[in-house]
Amino acid sequence: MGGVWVYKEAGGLFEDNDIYANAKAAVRVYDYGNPTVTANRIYGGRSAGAS
Amino acid sequence: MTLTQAQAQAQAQALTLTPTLPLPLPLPLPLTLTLTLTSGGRSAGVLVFEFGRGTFADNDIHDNRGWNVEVRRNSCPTFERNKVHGGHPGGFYCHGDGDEGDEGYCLPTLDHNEVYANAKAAMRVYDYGKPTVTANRIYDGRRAGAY
Repeated sequence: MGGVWVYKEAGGLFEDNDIYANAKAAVRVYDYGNPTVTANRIYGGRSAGAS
Repeated sequence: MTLTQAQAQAQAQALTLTPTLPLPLPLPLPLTLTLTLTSGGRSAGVLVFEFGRGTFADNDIHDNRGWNVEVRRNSCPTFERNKVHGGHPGGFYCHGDGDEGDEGYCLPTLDHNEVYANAKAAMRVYDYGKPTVTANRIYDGRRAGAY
């Protein structure tokens, strides 16, 4: 599924990571999730389809 | 008052066990599964929705088969100084306004990003999406820069 999910008022610092080749969204933020995402490489999500 | 050996042992066990009690509680797994379904089968490099926030700075977000970044209604992340490229179909997709009366209503901000070489559009703003877009470099979209 996805790489990083931040939700339910969660935060966090995500720095200098490679987040790649995930089947769903690489980073998913919802429900008052409030992360700081800095200097990462996010690429190669695999699922097709978009609106 | 003196404790018997059995009472002392029982007290020691109780003290030992008490701190561990909160740890085995199960996480809200059903909630996670339910919200997963709201993705509607789309995929993005970064997906922010349902009152999501966050600051995304200096990332390289590229070559995802959904939108590189999708922001849905009632969400207000800030994207600064990111490189967003090679998305299929595009770079940023901001859609859905939300209700100004909702608690937590807010809008996304896209600032000083470099958005280029995306398959369809560098930036799509649709269905009452209202991002604040400032000082971005948008170029080499295969079909449109922004629409």
